[in-house]
Amino acid sequence: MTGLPPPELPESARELLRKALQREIDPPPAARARVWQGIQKRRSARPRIGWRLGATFVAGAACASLVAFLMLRGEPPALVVAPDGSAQKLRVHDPLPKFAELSVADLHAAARVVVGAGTQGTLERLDRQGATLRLDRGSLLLHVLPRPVNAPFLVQTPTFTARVVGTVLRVAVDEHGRASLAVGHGAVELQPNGSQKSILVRAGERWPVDSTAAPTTAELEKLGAEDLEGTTAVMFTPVPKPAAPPPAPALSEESALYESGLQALRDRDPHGALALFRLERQKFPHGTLRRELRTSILDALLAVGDQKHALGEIDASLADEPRGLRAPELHWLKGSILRKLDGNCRRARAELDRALQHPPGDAPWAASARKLRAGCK
Amino acid sequence: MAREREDLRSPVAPVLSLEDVYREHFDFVYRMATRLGGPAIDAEDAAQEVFLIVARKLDTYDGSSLVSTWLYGITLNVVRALRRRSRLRRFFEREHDGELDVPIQSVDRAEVREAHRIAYAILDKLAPKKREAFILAEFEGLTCDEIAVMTGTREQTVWSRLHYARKEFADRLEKRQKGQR
Repeated sequence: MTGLPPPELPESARELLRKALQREIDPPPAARARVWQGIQKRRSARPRIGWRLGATFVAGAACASLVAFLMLRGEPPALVVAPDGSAQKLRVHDPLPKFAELSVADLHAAARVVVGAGTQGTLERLDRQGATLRLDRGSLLLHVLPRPVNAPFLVQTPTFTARVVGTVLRVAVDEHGRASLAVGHGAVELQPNGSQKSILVRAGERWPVDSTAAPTTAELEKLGAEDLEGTTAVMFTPVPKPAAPPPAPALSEESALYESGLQALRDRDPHGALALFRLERQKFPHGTLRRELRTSILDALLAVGDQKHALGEIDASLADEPRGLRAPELHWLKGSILRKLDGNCRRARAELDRALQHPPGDAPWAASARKLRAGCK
Repeated sequence: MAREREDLRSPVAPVLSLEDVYREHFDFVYRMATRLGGPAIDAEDAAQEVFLIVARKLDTYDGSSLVSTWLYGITLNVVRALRRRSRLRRFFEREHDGELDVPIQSVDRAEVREAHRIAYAILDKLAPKKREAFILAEFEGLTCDEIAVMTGTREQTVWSRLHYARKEFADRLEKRQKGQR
């Protein structure tokens, strides 16, 4: 027995486990920082020698009640972690605490921000409809989590307002009130004050283009690898102009929106992804990425359980390309949805027949389609 | 699963700090909590509990086992406690204790999600020690002797648990699939 493995599982069980293992189990961005903050809070709330455990319980219950109260009010909790590691609450309309060194503001589920030494700013808004930070002086290095388009994250400065959808960026205001922005990852929509037009600033770009402000090594280390999402100092430096003509601005903006939507899907925020994809479709109804966009909108609709609109997207795709490469799979998806909606096979049968008309080989959905069709006599 | 090299197992207990252990092993603890706990627990809560225990017990770590082995034992106990406390599994929208639903989401994500749900629905019915042996073998790819070291049991005991766990898993899966036809 020693050294020999026990009898193997049958193929069906091994196939199931192979698929189940594909489920992403790595910690999401910011989980490491969140857990660490929780540990620090609980350790600092630990009773000192001679105190009774009940005092800790009461303090913990009071904190939990405060958090619950703030959340019930629609105001997610925000914390500032001072350079000495202590944490203090940050309420809406509170000024950002000023420290002589870097500090970190954790805006629950919205963003994590490294606040530069001596920075002056205010948390203007933080609720389910959006978040707004105002920066009057100093710097903020932000990792903003993907947002629904109707709940924007805004950074206001003396000269512009930046609208962030899922990005690593740095905003700075110097002693003369001149503001600048540098994007390390993702894209930011920037609207100069007094202007109706907005400018898309992408990774490696900055505004104004001649600004030189960049995050320091200390700021990048403070934000941490998880929040930086692979961003490095190099990515904040301006991208040299290519010799060839750059891509048309519309395609770059379209790509940025599409990428942000995909990132939201990867971050398991299908509602946010759907909002971004819909914005892209609204801005670029005949865009270059319209086919990919349709596929991604369908993914997002199915993920949020909106079967009715998913059917609409499928029908539109099939009308566009009735013999496209994805047509059999789309017929299968439609058959599955109809089977579920109707509770019978009346409409599903024909769709499944169309899906299986051209043998799909070992396409991942084929076995499911055959099984479902077999059940629809 | 990332495995530490043998030469890290030092006869003299290494000096560890919570920050070092956290920085190097957070991902491991999180993944183990996710694997062992399944949908029933919150992996971040579990990871927090684990490192709070680590903070209290750092001075008791004597270097006789790998840090990951030590952490695994703590994670296992934390996950067991959290699972016992977990009353309601809301990972999926509905209870799926009966028939196998046809996935209606886009192909890759739907199949992966469905397979994960079914696997853990079956695993939740296994006895805890069989369940753990199964997860470590099938999800983490550990051998019986590695599992034995990790769980502090004999290799023959692990063999037996894994044998019965695999049999029970296969039987339960077959029953579910037959129930669909």
